[in-house]
Formats: sequence, C-alpha cells, structure tokens
Amino acid sequence: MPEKEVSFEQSINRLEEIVSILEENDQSLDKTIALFEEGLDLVKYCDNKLKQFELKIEEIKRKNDEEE
Amino acid sequence: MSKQVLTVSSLVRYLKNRLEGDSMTQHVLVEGELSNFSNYRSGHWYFTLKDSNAQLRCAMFASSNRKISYVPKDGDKVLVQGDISVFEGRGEMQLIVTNMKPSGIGDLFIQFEALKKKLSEEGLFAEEHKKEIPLYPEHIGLVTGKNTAARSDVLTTLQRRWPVAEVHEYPVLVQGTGSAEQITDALKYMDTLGYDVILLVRGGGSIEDLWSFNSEMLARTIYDMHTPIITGVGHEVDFTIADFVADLRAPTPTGAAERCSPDIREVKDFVRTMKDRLNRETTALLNTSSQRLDISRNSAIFRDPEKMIRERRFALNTLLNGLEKQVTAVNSEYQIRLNANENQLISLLKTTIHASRMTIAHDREKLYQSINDTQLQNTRKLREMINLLDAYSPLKVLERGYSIVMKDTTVINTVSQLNKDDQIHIRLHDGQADARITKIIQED
Repeated sequence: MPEKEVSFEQSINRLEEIVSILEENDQSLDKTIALFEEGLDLVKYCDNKLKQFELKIEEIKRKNDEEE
Repeated sequence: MSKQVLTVSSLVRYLKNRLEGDSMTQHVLVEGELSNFSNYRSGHWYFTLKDSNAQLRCAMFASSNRKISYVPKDGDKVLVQGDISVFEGRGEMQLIVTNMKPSGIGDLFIQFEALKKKLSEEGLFAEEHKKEIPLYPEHIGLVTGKNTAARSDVLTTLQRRWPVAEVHEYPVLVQGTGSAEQITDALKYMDTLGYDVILLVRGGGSIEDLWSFNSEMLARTIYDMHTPIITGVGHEVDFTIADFVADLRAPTPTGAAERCSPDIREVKDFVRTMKDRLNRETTALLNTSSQRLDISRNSAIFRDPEKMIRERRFALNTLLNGLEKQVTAVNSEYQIRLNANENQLISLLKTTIHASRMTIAHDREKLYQSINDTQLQNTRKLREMINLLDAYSPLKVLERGYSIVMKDTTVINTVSQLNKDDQIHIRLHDGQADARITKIIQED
C-alpha cells in the first residue's frame, strides 16, 4: 500500500506550528531537536511541492495555450 | 298616524347601507352600451351604461382601469363587473366598476376569472412550486405553431444569443378545436425527454385566439411537469392561465427565448474573466504559499538553531550562579554562627580563667597568711626552746666546774669504762684537754 501523500497545506501548517513551538523554546531538548529535524524536513518537502506546483501550472498553461 | 321625520342625510345613509349591504348588488356583472365616457386627469373613468330602457351611472377608478388593455369609447357594448354604491353628496346611485371587457366575450372572461380563482386557491400558481430556470440550457424543447412568427422569433433569438443549445421543436395547433389537447400532449411527451427547459410560445391574438392556453387540463399538465417551463403567449398585456402556472412567464415569444438563454458574448466574457481570475488566484496562491514557506524558513529557528542551545546554556549558567550564591550564603551564615560560637567560647573561657585566677590569688593570699602565721609561731616556739635549752645546757654546768670525760667519742660516766693508760678527752666550759689515766680507784 503506498504511503498516503501528506498535503502541502497540512505540511505548511505543521511547519508553522513547529516554528512557533521552537520560538517559545520551552520544550525538552530531545523534543526540540526532534522538532527541529522535522521542521527542516518539512521545509524541504514544502519547497519541493511548491516547485512541483509551479512546474505543473506552467505545463498546464503551455498545453492550454497550444490547444487554443 | 304620526311618522318620524328623517333628515336627508340619514335617509340617504340608510339607502346606501341597504344597497351596499345587499349581496345582489355587489360583484354584479352588467352588460350595456357605453355613453358619456370621460377619462379624467386623475386617471378615473366616468361613464353611463345604458340599454333601451334604463341607464346607470358608473365610475371606474384608475387603480382598476389601469389593468384594462381595452380602450373603451362611447357606443361600445361592454361587460362590466362592479359594486352598487351610493354617492351621498349628490344622492346618486352608481356602479363602481372593477373590471371591463368588450361585450361578446363575456362568457370567456367569466370562465377565465373563475378558473384562475379556483386554480390559484388550489395552489397551482404558488411561487414555491416554481422550478428554477437553468442558466445555460443545452437542450431546449420548443412547443409552438408550425411556421408561425412566434417560432421564428424564438429560433432567431436563440441562434443569436445561445447557438450552443440544441433546440427540438414539437409543432402543435395553437388555436382552435383540439389545440389545447395537442399542446397538453406535446408537453407531457417532452417532459419525459429530459430537456433543460421547455418553451411554450404563441404570438398575439384575441382572447378567443389565446383561449386554448386557458385550459384547465393544460394548466394541470404544466403544474405536474418536471421540466422547467417558460411561457410567452400573446403580447405584454395578455395573461393566460398557462402563464400563471408556468415556472416563468415571459411577455412575448422573443422574451421567452431571451429568458432561457444567456448571451453567448457575455458568457465568453465571463469565461475569459474567470480564466484571468483563475490565473491570478493560482499565482496568488502559489505566492502566498511561497511566502508562508519563506517566513518559516527564515525564522530565527532555522537561521540560528544554536540559539536554542545558547538559551539553555545561559539558563544553566544562571542556575549555576544562583546555586553558588546560595551555597556562599549558607556558608557565610555558618561562618557567622561559628564566629559567634567562638567568641562566646573565648569569652566563657576568659571568664573561667579570670575566675580561676581570682581563686588562685585568693588561695595564695590565704596560703601566705597561713605560712606567715606558722613561721611566727615556730619562731616563737624556737625562741622558747632556745631559752629552755640555754637553761639546761651542759655548758652552764661546766661553768660551774663540772667536766665531761670522753674516751674516744664515748662519754665516760663510770670508772669501769676506764683502763690504765687510756687516753681521755676532757671537756671544760672554756676548752679541752687530753690526759692519760694513771690510776683507777673504785669507790662505792
């Protein structure tokens, strides 16, 4: 069974949540490190997703313009 | 015989009440010939209705005559509906007309009103029953007369405004015998074909011409339909029962076509606008998302993650400092207490020493005293002893002429101790002399 894709919205919401938790800096050190790592992963994931979206939109537009 | 005298007012008032309270004189239908017709500036109509034997003054107020499409003139035979009333100021009886039709169609008019009232009361015209007309119909059913102006008006309008729709026609008789049945059948059939909307149209004509659209059977059929239906029958002023029961009544066939079709130019504009908006919104969404990501990515957490550790180290140091301070504080407290104890101890010791010294000094004093006393006593005793000794001294005896004879170291107190020729020692009070025994004489 393929892993269920997490949506961009969910990811960026989680990222924002992590940033705000880390900005408080009142979690245990272990938790902080884990959150930091998760945050970095989410940044990467969201960035990739955005790039994909951009490419996809460009592609759709191009295809559409060709058809017109 | 005495009769009560009435005032004019009270008599006229009485007559007015009698007439207006009589159901025979209310909502009456009267047929007659119009004369003295005058249309006042106020919009009210005043006229006389007459036949060969009588006449009746009539008034039709603007609020009522506004609805009449027919323009009356003197000499017309008309059918009017109204209520008998008395105008007290002039003591005149008049008919207040609420509706008027050229005579000859009186029957139809009455039937129309009766059917309209009946169906309305049954709820066939209810707003809540009316179906929504689709904005962009793709399949349109058209029920109208073959080769009529109404048909070509509809087709031209649809072609111009909304050529994308497919129009299916069902030609019917739109007037005369059997026309109501044909229209009814056509609608029943077309209702099963799944059209987006059905148009029922017919051009203008007299009330007789339009009569098939006032059929009760047709009205009930329209009411039962599942497909939205728009009617456009006659002209602006013509209303039929079908119009009342339809989901939408258009004033003319062209109007009906317009009401069921969007203008394709507007739709194209709309699509273009939507496309622009889609582009804009999508770009905006992307930008917003990028921005959101940037905000998170550029947050202090990711720019300087060591800060989180530094903060903790700082907290640790603060804690440590606090701890040190605490310990120092505790230590110094002990120190103070210790010092206090020491001081106390020293002062206690000093006191004790002092006390001891005092005791010692005191004791010494006593001892000295005691020694002195003993010394004095002893000195006194010694002096007594010396005196006594002096008194008993042998030397004193010797002074008196006694001597002590000693042999070797032994004092000789008997001659038996002596032998001839013994060397003896004689002690006198002022010196000594040695002698030798030359003779011994024992005496008893």
